[in-house]
Amino acid sequence: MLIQKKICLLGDFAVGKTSLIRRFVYNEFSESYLTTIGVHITKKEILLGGDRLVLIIWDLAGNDGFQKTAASYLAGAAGAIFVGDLSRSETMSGIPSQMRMFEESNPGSPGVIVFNKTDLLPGPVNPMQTSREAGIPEGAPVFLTSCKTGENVGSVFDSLAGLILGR
Amino acid sequence: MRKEIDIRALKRIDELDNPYLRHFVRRHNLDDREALALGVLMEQTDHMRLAIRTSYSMIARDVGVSTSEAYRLVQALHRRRILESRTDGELIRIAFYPIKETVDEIRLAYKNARRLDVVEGDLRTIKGRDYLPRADLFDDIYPLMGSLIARKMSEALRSLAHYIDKRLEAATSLRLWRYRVRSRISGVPAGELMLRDTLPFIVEELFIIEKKSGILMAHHSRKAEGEVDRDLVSGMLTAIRDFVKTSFKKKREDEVDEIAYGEARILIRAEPYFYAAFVVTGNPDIEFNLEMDRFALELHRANRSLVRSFNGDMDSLEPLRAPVRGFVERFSTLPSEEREGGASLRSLKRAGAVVAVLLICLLGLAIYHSWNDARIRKLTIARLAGTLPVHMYDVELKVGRGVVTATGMASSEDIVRRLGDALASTPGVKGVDNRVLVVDIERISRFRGEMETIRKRMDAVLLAQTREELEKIVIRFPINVAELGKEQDFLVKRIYEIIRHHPAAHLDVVAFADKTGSFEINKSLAERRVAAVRAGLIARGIEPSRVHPFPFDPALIESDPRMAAHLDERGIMIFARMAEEE
Repeated sequence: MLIQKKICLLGDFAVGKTSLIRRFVYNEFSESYLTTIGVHITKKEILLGGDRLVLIIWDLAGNDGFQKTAASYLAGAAGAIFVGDLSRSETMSGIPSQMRMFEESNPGSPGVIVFNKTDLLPGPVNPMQTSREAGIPEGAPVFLTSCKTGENVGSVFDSLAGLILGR
Repeated sequence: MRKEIDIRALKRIDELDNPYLRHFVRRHNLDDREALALGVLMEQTDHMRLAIRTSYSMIARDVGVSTSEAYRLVQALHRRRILESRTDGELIRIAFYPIKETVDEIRLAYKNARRLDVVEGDLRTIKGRDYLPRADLFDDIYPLMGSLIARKMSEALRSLAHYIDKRLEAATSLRLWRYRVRSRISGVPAGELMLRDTLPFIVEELFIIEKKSGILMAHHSRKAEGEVDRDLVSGMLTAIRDFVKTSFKKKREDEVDEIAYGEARILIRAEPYFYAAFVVTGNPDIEFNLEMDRFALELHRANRSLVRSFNGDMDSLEPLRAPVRGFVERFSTLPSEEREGGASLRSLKRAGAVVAVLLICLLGLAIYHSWNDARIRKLTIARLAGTLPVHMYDVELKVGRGVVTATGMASSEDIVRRLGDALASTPGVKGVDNRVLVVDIERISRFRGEMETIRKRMDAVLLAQTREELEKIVIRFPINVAELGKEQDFLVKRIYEIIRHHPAAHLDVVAFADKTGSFEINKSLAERRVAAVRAGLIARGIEPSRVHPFPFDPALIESDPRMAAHLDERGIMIFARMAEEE
């Protein structure tokens, strides 16, 4: 069966949303930083238990000024990835409000939390503690990722795909 | 040395580009050194916002003059009450006096001064008799242009009559029948079909997109898929649509219904659960709009439950694909490629041939004439092609019993005559009915240009007269009165009578005041008087956009020779100008 679903990536600017998609869709990474203007849409097909799931991925600009527009971009999304930058703690504290905004648009749709840029930290990170400190509600899966090394990037999308299809 | 300082001074002043500085230089007639010192001090006081403590030697260094000269310059500026300098221990404290005007006001004042210079220049030109008075102009040009206008009007009317004749003739032609047959079959009015043939369009692609998520539910393209994935295109279309709706919509039901790029347009029809995006090139007719509406609505009606419960399962959308493909295929061929109605047209032609054979059988004589006329027609066409350059005429030839009727257009009388001669000399031609008209496009276009030049000159003359008449009127007000009394109202009415015949003229309403009373009181009175006169003109029917109140500026009024005679009076003057003379 071929299934198409829209998912959204949310997070403050420069947390690595676009890099996450580039690593997942094209297996690429670039050190240079380009701001996403408005929205950038990509597509990736994954196989899940015999079904072909096509994810239409909406990478939303990480800018508060676009919040009103961003809310309309969230409509019809089956799931979301909320991204924070481990090297900038203020980007994590924005995640709870982004989760609320997504829940208002798409009640009951699943989301996963991503703490990105593990490669920039000298030591190990405790994801649960980081979540608590950022005020992120418990329950949502949390992933530590590095787009530079590719660590855990595939798992993020696989996990969200599983949650969307209820598997 | 002196020269060096001057150059530096000018350069610094220019670099500062400071309207306040320019204002002071002009108002107080500052010399280059004073201007330079002022510019430097303005810079050091953060554009007159701060008070600074400095010394004459420091100023001398910055300005590039001796200390004694720096002292002279600061004192000169102090005497003119531009800045205040006070001894503060071993240093001096320098602060600028506050000035009332803002940068914008100063800019506007100089802009207005420049504008008045232009108006004055205009007046000098007009008074120098560069323009003829209106009556003289008519007398001069009518003998030349009048007959030309009459002749061209007559030619244009003859061309129009010919065109109408041609259309009426076509009403009985096979070509119109073809449209009538197509119209009967398709239900589209024959006129629309003709227009569609004249202005063709093509549906390049059709997207059916889920309204909320932007997921592409169905799609068909008349060509191979483009480089960009259509799933991504539909996502971006949805994002654009959402962005426009969120940013610009005024009402809840407002929708983006068209995106245009180059020759192509994306026409959007929204239904409750999806929207259809038709990518069209060319010029879709009104009927096509209805076709799109009908298609989108029908697709919604037929698949309502399917699209409402769509959960991403693409296989469930199969019922949408055939109608989408059908619609694109229906509108993806040019009219010349023959769509519906073609088969019927062929049938009609066959039936016509059978009737012709019957007629041939029954009327041998008619056959002979018909054959002979066709032969003559071919001969005349060949004769024309061999005699005259084809780009000089566009004619239709009809032959009946050996008589050739020529209708159409040619580029000159000579071509019409030569065309008639060529037809008459064709073997077998018994007579020629030459109805060909001369249409000289180049001359018509030249004529239009001449008419436009005259119109502009007429406007200029009219404006000059209006200006002169208006400048004779001064609306005077009693002291401390800003309302229109009987006398003022009479003058406003007179102004209205002058300008109502010149709808292109715009009016600048300028107030002046006598020297008694403070600036604030005079300004307030002047502004109220300007507003009262403006309201009076608008109440009589002059569009508000044509009446422009001028800010009160005594310096400006003093510099204007038209108002110089009224410096000790209280009143209003009105100056006319064209809209573009901003």
